[in-house]
Amino acid sequence: MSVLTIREPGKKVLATGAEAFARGGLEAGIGFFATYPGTPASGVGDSIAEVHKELEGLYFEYSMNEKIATEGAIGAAWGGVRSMVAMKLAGFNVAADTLFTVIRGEVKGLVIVHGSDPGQQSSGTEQDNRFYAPFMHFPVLQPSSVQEAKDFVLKAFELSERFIVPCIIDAPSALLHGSGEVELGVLPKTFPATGELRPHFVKTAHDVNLGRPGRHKVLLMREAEIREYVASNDLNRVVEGDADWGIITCGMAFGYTMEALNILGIENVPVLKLGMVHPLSPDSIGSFLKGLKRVVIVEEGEGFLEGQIKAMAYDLGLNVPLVGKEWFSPVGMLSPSRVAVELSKGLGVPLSEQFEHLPLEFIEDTERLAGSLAFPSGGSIPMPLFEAPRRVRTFCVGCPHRPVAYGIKKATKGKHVIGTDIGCYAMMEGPPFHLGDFKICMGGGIGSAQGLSRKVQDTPVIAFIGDSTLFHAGLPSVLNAAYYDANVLLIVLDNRWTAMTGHQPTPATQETPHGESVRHVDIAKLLRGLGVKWVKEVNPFKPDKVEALVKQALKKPGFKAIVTKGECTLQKGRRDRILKVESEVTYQIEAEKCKMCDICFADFGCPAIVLGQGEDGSDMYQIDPGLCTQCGACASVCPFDAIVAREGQRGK
Amino acid sequence: MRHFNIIVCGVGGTGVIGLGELLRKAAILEGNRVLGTESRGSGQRGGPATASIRFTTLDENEGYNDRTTLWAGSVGAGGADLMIATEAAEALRNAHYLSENSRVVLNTFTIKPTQTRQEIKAKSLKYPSIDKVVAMLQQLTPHVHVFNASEMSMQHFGSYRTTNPVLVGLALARGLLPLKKDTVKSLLKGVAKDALELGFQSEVGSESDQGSS
Repeated sequence: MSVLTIREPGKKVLATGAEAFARGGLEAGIGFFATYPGTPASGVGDSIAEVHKELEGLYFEYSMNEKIATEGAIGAAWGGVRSMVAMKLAGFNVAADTLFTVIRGEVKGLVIVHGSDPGQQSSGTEQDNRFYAPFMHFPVLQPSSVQEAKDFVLKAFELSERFIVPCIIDAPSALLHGSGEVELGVLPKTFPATGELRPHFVKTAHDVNLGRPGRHKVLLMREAEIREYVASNDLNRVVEGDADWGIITCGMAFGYTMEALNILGIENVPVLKLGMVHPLSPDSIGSFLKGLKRVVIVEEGEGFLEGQIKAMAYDLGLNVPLVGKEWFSPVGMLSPSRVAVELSKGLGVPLSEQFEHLPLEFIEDTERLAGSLAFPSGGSIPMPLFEAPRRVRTFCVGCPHRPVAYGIKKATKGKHVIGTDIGCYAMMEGPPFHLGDFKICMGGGIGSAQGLSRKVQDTPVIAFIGDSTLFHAGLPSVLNAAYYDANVLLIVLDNRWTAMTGHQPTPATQETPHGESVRHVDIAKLLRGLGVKWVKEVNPFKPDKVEALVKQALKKPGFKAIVTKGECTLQKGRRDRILKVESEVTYQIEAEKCKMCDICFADFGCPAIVLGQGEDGSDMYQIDPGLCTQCGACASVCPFDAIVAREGQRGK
Repeated sequence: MRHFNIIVCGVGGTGVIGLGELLRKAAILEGNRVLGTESRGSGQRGGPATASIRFTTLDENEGYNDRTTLWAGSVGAGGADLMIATEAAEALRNAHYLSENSRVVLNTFTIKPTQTRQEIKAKSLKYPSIDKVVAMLQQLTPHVHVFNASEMSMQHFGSYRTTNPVLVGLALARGLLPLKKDTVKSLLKGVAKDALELGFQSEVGSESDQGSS
């Protein structure tokens, strides 16, 4: 049973941070929830998606993008219900246009869960979006535990309604993907299916969108009120101690700091934990700083608190030395070990023996760079202890993108500029394909490809995009490219799911894992409707056909598109298991035909093709039947027809 | 207050995340306060994957306090009481979690990385033998336990999918995991229950190597 629907107030359950945020929203009685999936924030929406049919009155959707999700939530809030959205840090940029503008109007009862990603485990940047707060003028909360993840959602709704402003909760990947204990509160029996139109708000929003500067003044006044409110609220608290120095911290860094102090055996330092990091109360900060000889600010990301606190100390005439990012690099995640190492260096106290066998730089680098593995071209983690074999993430066995990449590579031979985009297909950048010369943000591949094609005429330009990304941010760019007939080949990799973030449905989804057909959009027709004259579809599991079609397309001038239509193998596999569908063939490499040419193993690179041993003990390539999904793509890759399908199931 | 820290490591697809969830659920069922986290995104696609499980057992009449409780989901360097490696070479990648008190449960299953043409030509991929992996781990801790859980799973259930319950059964039988077999079993379904029993029964009665924590 999902922790979202347990009706036992007071019960302690294990939940992920993502589930706790979702549970918080339900306990707050939301009537509307919208999201666009993006790791690390996907789990919030996914956990609601799993159960929303049981929750009478609650409207849920996977919106096409974060801007639409936010606008939907604003509309629902104007419709009189509490509404909530979740998005990752990059998605916040997409929603920012709406948020900047609407903030000048009146919205209340709107909470945004913002997935941040220190360490870039699954993001293109580490951008610290707390910096939006001082000029959007909204409050930002940073929970420190899974319990607070839930509790802060309720507090955020109170704030949003009290001060008529959207409230943001920062949720880093370590919290969203982490698990911990949560004491459940009361779940409403039903959720508001309808609300009462707030005509006043709608009207005000309309007026102020015309740009009355008076609105700015109102927002600053509200901010001042929130500063006063937070000084008297329990969002911030102090862990008492009688040392002559102190620590100010927030979010996950609070827990890391407490564990680090325990590691270092420091028991008496006072710690101010800030639950609200914007706006800050000069009263709370001032009374903590007073009397201390030094204060260390521990926060992930940039020195957001540090800058504000230093300015406050100056204004308050407090001459206490403050240190923050000088000790704790803004790059990467913090952890108890990293905080302990930096405190030990900065304070000149010895580290515990737990670290004795490890070089300090190793602890710092390992934990800081933990995320860099997420990117095929990313840096490598130093391994001073033992060397482990290099492992780059690659396409799953049976992924439709692998044979497409193989076909494109054969067709282009590296003589093209390729703009790629956000999704599983970005793994084409890594070995063995190395396809992809640039990648920006959602929809950025096709967007930039068309400008590039105007000025680089002797090198054909190709742009990749997946189905979900196409719907998210690609459609205006496709229209633009088609309307102005940019000399670009667009390849839409339609795998029917938002696969990389955990298989959320897209308008291209045709069938659920349980085998039910769902209404869907035909991407080829959609492209034709947008004015793309030459659109062809191809089965991605036939790399030779992909190759031929790409060659054909590149001979055509102007804008043209290929849609590769093959479902994500993980979803297909899930359905086959549920419906007990078994493949009728197995694929094998015939030893007598195999010339060990390395094409299937190295150039195609499917992880199910492994280097094994023949009967005589010599090296030979084999297909691991435990891994193979019978997609059959490798069969057409072999120039010697050594890979053959055999009838008969794989015995399990 | 006693803390127990487990790091599960392997390659995306070897059930690392699922094993983490299983152990966390078992630990909370036994009344512990539980934390954990896992690598997401990259680990799902053949990259290295890890999951952590941390739990605290309180003594009678003891409460939690800010300064001694666990907060982070991740295990610190040198902080693992137990490592479960579902893929052998991944134990090496995560060796920095080990100290001389750590217990290691090493599955002999190997997934050799795919190679580029250049790497094949240069023979630059060095995938160590199991003996070498064990020898390296033993430089850090004497408590290395080696099991052929994947082979047992394939042999008895015709699939690798039941490897991890077998592995957990083996670890329980050697006293490496401070949880009860029945608790873990209550969280498993169907053939996974049998797999847990298979692992447990094949090692039951062997010498216990319970950690100090």
